[in-house]
Amino acid sequence: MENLINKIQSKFPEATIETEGVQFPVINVSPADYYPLMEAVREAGFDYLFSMTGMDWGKELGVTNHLENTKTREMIVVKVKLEDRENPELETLENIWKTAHLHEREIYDLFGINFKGHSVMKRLLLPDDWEGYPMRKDWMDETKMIIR
Amino acid sequence: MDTVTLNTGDLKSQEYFLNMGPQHPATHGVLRLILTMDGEVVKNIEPDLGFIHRSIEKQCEYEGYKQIIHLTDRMDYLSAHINNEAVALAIEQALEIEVPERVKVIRTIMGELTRIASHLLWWGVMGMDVGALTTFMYAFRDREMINDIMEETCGARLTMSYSTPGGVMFDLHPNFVKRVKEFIPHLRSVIPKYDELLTGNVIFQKRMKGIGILSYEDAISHGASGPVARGSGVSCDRRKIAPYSALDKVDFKEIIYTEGDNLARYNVRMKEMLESLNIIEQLIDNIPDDGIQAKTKALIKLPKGEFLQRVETARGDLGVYIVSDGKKNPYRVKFRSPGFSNLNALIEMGKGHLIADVVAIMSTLDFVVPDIDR
Repeated sequence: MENLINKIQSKFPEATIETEGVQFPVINVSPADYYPLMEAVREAGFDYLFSMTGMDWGKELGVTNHLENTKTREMIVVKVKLEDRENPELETLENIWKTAHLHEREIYDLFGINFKGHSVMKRLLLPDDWEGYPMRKDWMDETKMIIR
Repeated sequence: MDTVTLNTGDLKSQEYFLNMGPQHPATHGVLRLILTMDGEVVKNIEPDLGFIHRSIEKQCEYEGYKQIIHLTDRMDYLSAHINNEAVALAIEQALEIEVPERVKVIRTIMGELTRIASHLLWWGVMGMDVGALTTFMYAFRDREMINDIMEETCGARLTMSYSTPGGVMFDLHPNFVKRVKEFIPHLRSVIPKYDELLTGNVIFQKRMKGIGILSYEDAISHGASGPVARGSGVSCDRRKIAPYSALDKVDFKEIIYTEGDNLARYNVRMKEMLESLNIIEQLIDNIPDDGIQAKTKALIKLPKGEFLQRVETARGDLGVYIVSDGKKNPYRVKFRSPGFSNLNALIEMGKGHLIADVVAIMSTLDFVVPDIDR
């Protein structure tokens, strides 16, 4: 873990790392460094992409990734924030972890983040003709199905 | 009469799409697979989800923490109790509540009963998927006994909502211990018969051996967990890695097979049922008596922060990830469901197999569709 943190600090000086007061170490990375950083994390032994959580922090959209090293059982969190709410775009992680395939489709469906290079960038859970991205905080629930 | 010779070199094959589901008995719910076929061989699988999507994650953002638990039963309804426990554990972790020992033991026993009931149902429908109808009747007879035990204590047979933050809803029914003790020897005596009926059957073995192989590396890369990953030699049982509730007090084996085929996944679940019985047996005689509820506030507010709780459901690694901004309802809840990642593995496992084998592979992956759709 220490090695990885040192490596990230030297290779990606803009990335910030939180280790105090959090359950697992958290790396905050910019969209430009996202893919190379995730590659470095994979090389450091984090072979299990546990989950990809789409997030809407109010101002920014983004993804929270939980990763696990299946040998040492360490966990690490990588967060990426996107300022652009109109055309949010990220690199796909499909080539690094195969599980990203469905997780990224789900995030595209519910948050509208486009993953460049993904093999099937289509809606997954909602119908193909659905408009809008319901997990965003500014989504209007006109039929009052969920938000009363 | 002239003999007609067929020159197979002149025949052309053409790829076509085949729609499997959402109304299909082998998909065990409303899962639709769009298959690209060449003759009877599957070339590509594209899952189409969402037929039972209720946006539970969004609903959670507008509910209090105590109410969220009731939504989680409706995800993986065969692991309802374990889902409830996962949310309760996440809330307790955030509030730093220590629950009474009795609660821990009750939760573990209930969780293992749930696991057995889920595996029994899987065994029944799995037999049916490959053409053995009898298994369904036997499995449901035994599963009924667990449902009756649940009904007495929890008041519900399927969606229990039994765990609450800091404890459990009701105390155990006076019949509970007696009934569980009757069930353990019963299941122990019938499982060898089930092995005789299905596991040792030559036709069944031919459907299972060497079909749908998932390698060790692929299992990890696909994010597979539970019996699916353990059939490929991946040690991933959360009950062993990070014991929760009373699981640190019991002695049990993690079942791992390395072949990675249908039969390996089948064997993992069959052996797991016996291990679950071992766990229950170690706890059932010594249930502590120190109350069923830790003190919690009527209105639960979680401190600011992010909390992840992982538990082992009957299908694998369920993650409950709560992001709290200090209010009475969460800012964001993510349920990382095991079925969702296991479905990812099917896309690759099914390629190159016959369509009938895809049905067999799907049944050893043990999908519960509401768990995938949420």
